[in-house]
Amino acid sequence: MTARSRPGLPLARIDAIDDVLGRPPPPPPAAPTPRRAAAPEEPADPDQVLRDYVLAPYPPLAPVAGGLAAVNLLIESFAIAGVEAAGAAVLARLRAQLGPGRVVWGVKLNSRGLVAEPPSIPADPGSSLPPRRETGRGPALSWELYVYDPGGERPEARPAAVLAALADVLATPTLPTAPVPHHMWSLELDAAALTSGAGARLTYYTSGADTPGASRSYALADGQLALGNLYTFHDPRREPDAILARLRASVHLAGAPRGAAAVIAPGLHRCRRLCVANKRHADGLYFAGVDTDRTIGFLREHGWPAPLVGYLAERRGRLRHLAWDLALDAARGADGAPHILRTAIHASA
Amino acid sequence: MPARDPLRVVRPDAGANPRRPGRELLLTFAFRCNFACRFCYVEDGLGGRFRGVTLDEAARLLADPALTAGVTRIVLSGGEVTLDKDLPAYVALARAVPSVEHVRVQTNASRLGDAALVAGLRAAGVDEFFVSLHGADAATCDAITGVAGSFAAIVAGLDQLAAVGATVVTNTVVCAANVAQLPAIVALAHAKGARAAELWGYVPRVDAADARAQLVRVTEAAPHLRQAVIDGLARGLAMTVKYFPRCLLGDVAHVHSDAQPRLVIDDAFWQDYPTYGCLYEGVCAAANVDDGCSGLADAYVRRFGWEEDALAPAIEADAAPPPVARYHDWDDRPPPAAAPPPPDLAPWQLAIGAELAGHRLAAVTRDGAAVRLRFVGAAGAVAIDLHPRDPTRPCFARTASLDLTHPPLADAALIAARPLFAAIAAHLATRDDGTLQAALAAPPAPAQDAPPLWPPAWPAAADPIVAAVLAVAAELCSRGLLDPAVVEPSIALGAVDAPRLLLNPAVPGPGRDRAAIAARLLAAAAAPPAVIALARAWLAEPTRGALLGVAAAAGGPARAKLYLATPRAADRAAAAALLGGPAPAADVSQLAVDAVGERVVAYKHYAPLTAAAARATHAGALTALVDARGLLLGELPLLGCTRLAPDGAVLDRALHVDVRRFAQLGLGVAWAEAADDARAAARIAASGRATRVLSETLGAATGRHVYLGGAR
Repeated sequence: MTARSRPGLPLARIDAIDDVLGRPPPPPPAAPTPRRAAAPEEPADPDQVLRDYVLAPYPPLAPVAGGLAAVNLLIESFAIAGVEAAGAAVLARLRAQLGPGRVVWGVKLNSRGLVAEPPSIPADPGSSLPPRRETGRGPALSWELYVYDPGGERPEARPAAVLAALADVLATPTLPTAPVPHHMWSLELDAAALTSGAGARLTYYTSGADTPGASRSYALADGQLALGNLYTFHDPRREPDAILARLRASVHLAGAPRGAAAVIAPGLHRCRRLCVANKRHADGLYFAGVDTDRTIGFLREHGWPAPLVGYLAERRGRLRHLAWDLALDAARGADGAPHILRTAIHASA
Repeated sequence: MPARDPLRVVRPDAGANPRRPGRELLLTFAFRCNFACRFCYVEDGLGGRFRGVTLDEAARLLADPALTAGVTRIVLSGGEVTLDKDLPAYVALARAVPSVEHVRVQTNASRLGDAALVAGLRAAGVDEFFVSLHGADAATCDAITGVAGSFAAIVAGLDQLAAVGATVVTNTVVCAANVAQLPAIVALAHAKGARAAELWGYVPRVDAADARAQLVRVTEAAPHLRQAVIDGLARGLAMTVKYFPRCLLGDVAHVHSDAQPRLVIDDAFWQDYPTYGCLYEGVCAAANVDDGCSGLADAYVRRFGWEEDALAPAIEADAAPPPVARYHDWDDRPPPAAAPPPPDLAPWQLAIGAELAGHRLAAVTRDGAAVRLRFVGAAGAVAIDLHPRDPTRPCFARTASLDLTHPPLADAALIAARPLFAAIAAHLATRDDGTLQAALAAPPAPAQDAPPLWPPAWPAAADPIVAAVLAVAAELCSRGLLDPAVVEPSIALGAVDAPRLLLNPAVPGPGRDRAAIAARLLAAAAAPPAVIALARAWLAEPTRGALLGVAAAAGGPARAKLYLATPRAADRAAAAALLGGPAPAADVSQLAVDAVGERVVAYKHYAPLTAAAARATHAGALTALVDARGLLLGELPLLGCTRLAPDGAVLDRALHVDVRRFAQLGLGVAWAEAADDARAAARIAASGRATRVLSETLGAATGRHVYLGGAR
């Protein structure tokens, strides 16, 4: 039993009443089910600074000793998608090139059966890119790997250097001749990109120094850069009105019968940082700093593959030190309400 | 995406319910019931599935002062506790707790039509009955309880309790089934002799998906709830509303309280307990107080949304920033100032507990420049604010030196409070000889021992000049002219026994003559008169900043250093004019002078560095340490220091890295260990101070420093 004094709050136990009453401890949990990934699980490193999806450091939410690294989820997702070897090879090259804790990764689930999202660049007759179409094959996982290079201080983080390091494990786009100013850049991958030589898509992200609080992305295709997304970052505790204003101004996110709750689930409103993104075919939200328990609920709610959710759920005790970054994209449906197209989970490796 | 400072969030632990003096403890047992209420939030525990506190366990618990100290009310609940034959024994145990004034039974009253049962419970020590009354008529009530005839049984119980004059508080769960009946329910409670009525928003614990559709839109419920409260207050009931957004209660918001007793219940109860929240909780003053508003249940949000257009945060003018949470421990902000002590009531011949016109003075607090008297009467709480007399202020009464006002009240509450207003006005007027206003002023904060400026674990600063500076700094701190946090010790690696200090005399504050403060400190540091004059001249301009450094040197006198902040071109020009020496470049943000005696030996120009520039021109052991610890230079403030001879020749360059964001990584110790200075590492570890800055003079065997934070 526990004596508590306030409902609805994440209170710690106040009294160890069980000790007072002399009750037996609960039985130990059952052994976890086997992983899909073949590679050994990577333990968490207590000496490594934990970083979120913008490489901002955060303190562990629980003692790190004995825990698991967040990257195990990425590896498990590769395994579930049947591309463990290829995915792990790309990750290993990136980590070797950039150093520990410098790779931000995201796993994405397309909720509407799209193999890939609608192209950010509309296909035109002159484009060599094949238009991406809905295949109706069911939810599919994809990935995005982010390389952070604030201040341009790290030659090894520049796209040319990284792509060279990946050359024999991943087909990558041709870079512009002149360097593109950026704060971060990313590679979008799917199973085809990892296994069949289909190209990964490269995107540059600006820091938003010119538009305080905002950031932009530019997708690279055929040597051309096309404006992709606009991001604004907010403190959900102190800026509820700013966040609501962004939602109300969104053609995709406004007008839901339940208002903001259509995209801000209970609990996610207490994330560490909330990003609102305007994208070409949808608008999105990013919730930074979500604990493992709530992350498991998010993935379960949005229909993530049971093995992946189970992997996290059965290991939640060893993942409690981590704060995850969750995302969703939603587009206006025929009914005028936002429909969630895609969800994602991010962390660093 | 750009990095941002991490968010910080807090939910303070609630303790006592300020609406009821003292503390409450609730014990649970008898998890069975003769009703089947649709919204029961222990439904899954009934049938004995929740383990209740046995008599033996209750005896042990209630004998534990850690649990019972200060408890004035013990509440017994289940299930339906009147079904338990041992209820009188539990009551007796509760009554035996020395501090307990009230023993309350939570019950559906269905068995309390039995006069003998009621008499037995009262004889055992029950003095309060918390009766569930969820409908104003049989159709509504029986539909909610799921038991035909339940309403009749409840009414019979209420009648019996009224017949014996028992204290009855009714409890109504506001749900879809009864929301339109709330005023009628309160009227019924009053008619049956209740002294208080509580209206609780439905807590969707068992039916988290609201499959039973018990949740009601708060915007729909609010008018009924407000009317029920107004009617109840008008009838003289003490009213309480829980688990309903406070901001929707309008002018009866003062009856809102989400506080609960400390609850001793099977842990299984908490496993599915709903979480509450609100999009505005971070900015709403009502959300961050002890009995404050919890917001909306998750199940409500999932069904209806956040109600962001209906709810409105209570924003207090000049409110302090929202509290920060222990979710993130990297909080290097100073602790908030302690709340000012409550006013001394003796000059007003008042005291807590004093009775005036049927109202009892329950609390006195400061509310900005005013003092708030909080009276509690039969109609509820009434606040009266006392202000310094101001003929231009609207008020309901004015004495020789005071204005009396009150917050807005509903008509019925206003009528009920008028006798109190008249009584307090008369009370103060007859005692106010023009001096009562003085009691409004907060007394000066008691002098507190300043924290030691020099880390207590360190040997005393051996250098007499550094010791003299510390003594002057301590005196200035005790007078509030200097903040302990700006007296920062530092260590020169390889010369740990040579004490060093960095001080900021330029923080503005009341009564602070910054130039004079700097001059005193520099004089204590035996700085040349020219440097002292320089500091006076520089800080005479109120917008300028400066730092002072004192560094002992082995075998030589301690050296004083003056650092002039030059973030603007005009500052740089002015500094160059005052200091002489080489002209600073446009990016120089700080200029410094090294002096030995009367002689300027070097000029230092500090300029921010980009990470790329730092790697290009200041790469060394320090940048290697940063890399090795997995940090990014680009995320750390970097300062390059160029030391120049008076003739402009570059003597050396140094890199300063601000690592305060990563205080928990022990980088000061790591830097000392990298310099093979175990003594310095030990001293840094023992200092109890966070590491602020690491520096390295390039190409020099010496020239590595660790700058620590000041005392807090």
